Amino acid sequence: MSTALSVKNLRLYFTTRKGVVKAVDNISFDLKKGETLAIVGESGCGKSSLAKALIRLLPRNVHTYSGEILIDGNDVMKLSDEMFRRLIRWRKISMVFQGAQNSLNPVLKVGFQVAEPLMIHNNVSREDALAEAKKYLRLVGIHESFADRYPFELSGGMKQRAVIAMALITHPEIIILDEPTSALDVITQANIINLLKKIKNELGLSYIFITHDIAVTSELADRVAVMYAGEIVEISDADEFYYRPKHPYAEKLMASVPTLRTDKKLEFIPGAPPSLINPPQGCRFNPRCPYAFEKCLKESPPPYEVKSGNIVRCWLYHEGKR
Amino acid sequence: MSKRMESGIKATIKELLTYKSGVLGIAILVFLIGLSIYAMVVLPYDQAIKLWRGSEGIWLNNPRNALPEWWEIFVGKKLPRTIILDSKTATFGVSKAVTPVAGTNIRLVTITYLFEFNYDDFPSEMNVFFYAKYQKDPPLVKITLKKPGGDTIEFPRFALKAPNDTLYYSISNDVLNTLLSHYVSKYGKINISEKLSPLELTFGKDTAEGLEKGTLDVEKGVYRLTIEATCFSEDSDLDARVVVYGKVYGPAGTDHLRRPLEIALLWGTPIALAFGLTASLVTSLLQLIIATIGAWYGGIIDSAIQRITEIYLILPFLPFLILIAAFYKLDIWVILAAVIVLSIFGAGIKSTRALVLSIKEYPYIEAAKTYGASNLRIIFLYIIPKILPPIVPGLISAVPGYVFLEAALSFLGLGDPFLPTWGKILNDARNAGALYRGYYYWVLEPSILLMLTAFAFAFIGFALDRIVNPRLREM
Repeated sequence: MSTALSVKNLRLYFTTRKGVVKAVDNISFDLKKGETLAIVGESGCGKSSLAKALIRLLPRNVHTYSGEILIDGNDVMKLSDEMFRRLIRWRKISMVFQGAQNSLNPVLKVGFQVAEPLMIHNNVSREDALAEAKKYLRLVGIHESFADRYPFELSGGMKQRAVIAMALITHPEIIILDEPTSALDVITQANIINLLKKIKNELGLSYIFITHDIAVTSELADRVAVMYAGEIVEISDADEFYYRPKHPYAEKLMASVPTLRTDKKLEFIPGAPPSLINPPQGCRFNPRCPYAFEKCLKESPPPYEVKSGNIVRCWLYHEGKR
Repeated sequence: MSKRMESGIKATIKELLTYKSGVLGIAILVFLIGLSIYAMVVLPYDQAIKLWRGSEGIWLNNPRNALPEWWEIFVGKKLPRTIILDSKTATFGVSKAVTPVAGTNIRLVTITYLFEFNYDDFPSEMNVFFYAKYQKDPPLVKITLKKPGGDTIEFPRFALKAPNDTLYYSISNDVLNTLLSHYVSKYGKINISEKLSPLELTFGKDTAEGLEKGTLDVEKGVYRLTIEATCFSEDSDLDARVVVYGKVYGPAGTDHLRRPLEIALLWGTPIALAFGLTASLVTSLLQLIIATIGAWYGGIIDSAIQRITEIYLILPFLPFLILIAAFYKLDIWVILAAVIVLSIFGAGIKSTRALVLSIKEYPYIEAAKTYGASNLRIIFLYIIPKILPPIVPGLISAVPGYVFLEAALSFLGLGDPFLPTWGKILNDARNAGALYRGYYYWVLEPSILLMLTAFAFAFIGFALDRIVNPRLREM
């Protein structure tokens, strides 16, 4: 499988009154064509910032924005904002936003809203764009009569579907799904996940699936990347990850996922996520890590390749303790 | 799209009608719009201007400062209407006979005017307009008046001074003296109060006890006025128009220049509505756009707009406008433009900016940015439609302010010099001392229309406010 997206040493820092927030710190990963990469982690670990960095949706207080993002072998970081807007956004990468309820313009009709990217990017006439929008609404399982409704007339699940249709309409190769199911009930979640699977197979897309809900990712992910304090601490194949998470943080994360009607005691990780302004010295997880030893306090662990493509950043593996 | 919009407006109006204030406001507004359409259909603009700006000549047959006809309801008396009798147009009750005197060039013209006077009050004026044709010597005219009681008063013969001579019957000293001497010769020395005018002496019911001002009744019945003229050449002729001016006129009365007020009242309506609505609409929309652009782009643009707004807020609006209007004689469109220019950087900028700053951070705006919507697209398709609804009630409520502003400028004599407007009537009324002289109708009529306009928009504004801000409903 060829690579759809390759990220190397991506950094996104913000300036705040308290100091520089290292929301995305030196992140590298590859996304293969047709693959789903899940990015999981706690709230505030930089998942959404990573999504924004990928699609270059930057707030005003950016301190550093550097690294390489290769799409089809071209570094899109070198493009100007205008070129990026024209060539990459929605052409190559599109995005489904967190909270579909809020990412639809309340004063535009759903059909028009779904057609918006097409009208903006492809100079398609209004009628053609609306017809195309109806086609995509059908694809995501919304009856085309809803194209003439306003967002408030749709249920949460339908709005989410509409937002997905909006992301698909310009035939991008990569879709960033930022918590696409977080505000939905479980039945609707299941529907959306099935829909996403179906669409991916039909259209041959690659997903970057950002979520804090590990249970949901298990349905969809081919590979899982765990983020902690602005860094990716582990990337593993999904099959591997769900049975044998490598990084101590990933272990703890898996242990805290509730399972139905079993006598498992839910675990939690003592302490709080570290400040992204002054991350801990050495490994960023060391204050909360039960296995931490001297080296963890001093040096940050480099990536360790467990097997091809499976990477973990932990001294335990470097030192051969696991 | 437009079909949907229509149904949206329809739905809004339907909802408006569930509020009493909405019903009242719409009813008044429909009445005012009806009045405007009526004005424009019945009295086209050019004609209205001509009639309003025309000299007194046009309105010579109208009474001066006459009350509206419906005023009778409050007085309880039948007030006199104007009676016009013209020998040229052969009005009913007028007969004319020309008899040449055999062997001479002299022609005798006799015109008889018969009219019924059945009112409870005296006329306000009476004039006889002559139209004479002659070569050298003007005709000699003799007027005889026969009262309903049979009393006949002969006025001394006089020569016309010009072809278009006029006998101002009600203020002529000759007429007064003739009338006085008539009663003296009839009753001997009786008590006739000195303040009686020729009209009162003519139309009063005379008694042997005397004619006293205040107690004098009107003698009702058919009056006969005869003009006998002696013309001195073959082709000479005489016609005359007798006008007995009433004390009431039309639906709105007349002003000091005998103009019917309804012209200005009718035409004032579309002007006031158009001025108020345009000013309010354009100002609000421009404020909206300017504030949104400022808040969206931020930085220098925003600061500049905010500073300009602060300067504008300090400038006194009305004195500024008065100054402009005093130096340049402006027509209504220039005044409108000046009003708009002076109010675009108003307080609305501040409140809209606050709204936009919060909407700017909404996820769907961020989403729009991501899928590449341009700044203008976001401003006009995403932000402005979102903040438009809360602004509409304010926009409607602001209309009366601009209507009153136009009236105020006209009242101060700074309005459009040509257009008949409500403020212009008030200005005339003030200059003529209407309230001091008791011409209340003159001030009340435009004032009531102004108030109705204000009420209409205020009521609709209140109701809309409750529709747009549902939280107000419980209150």
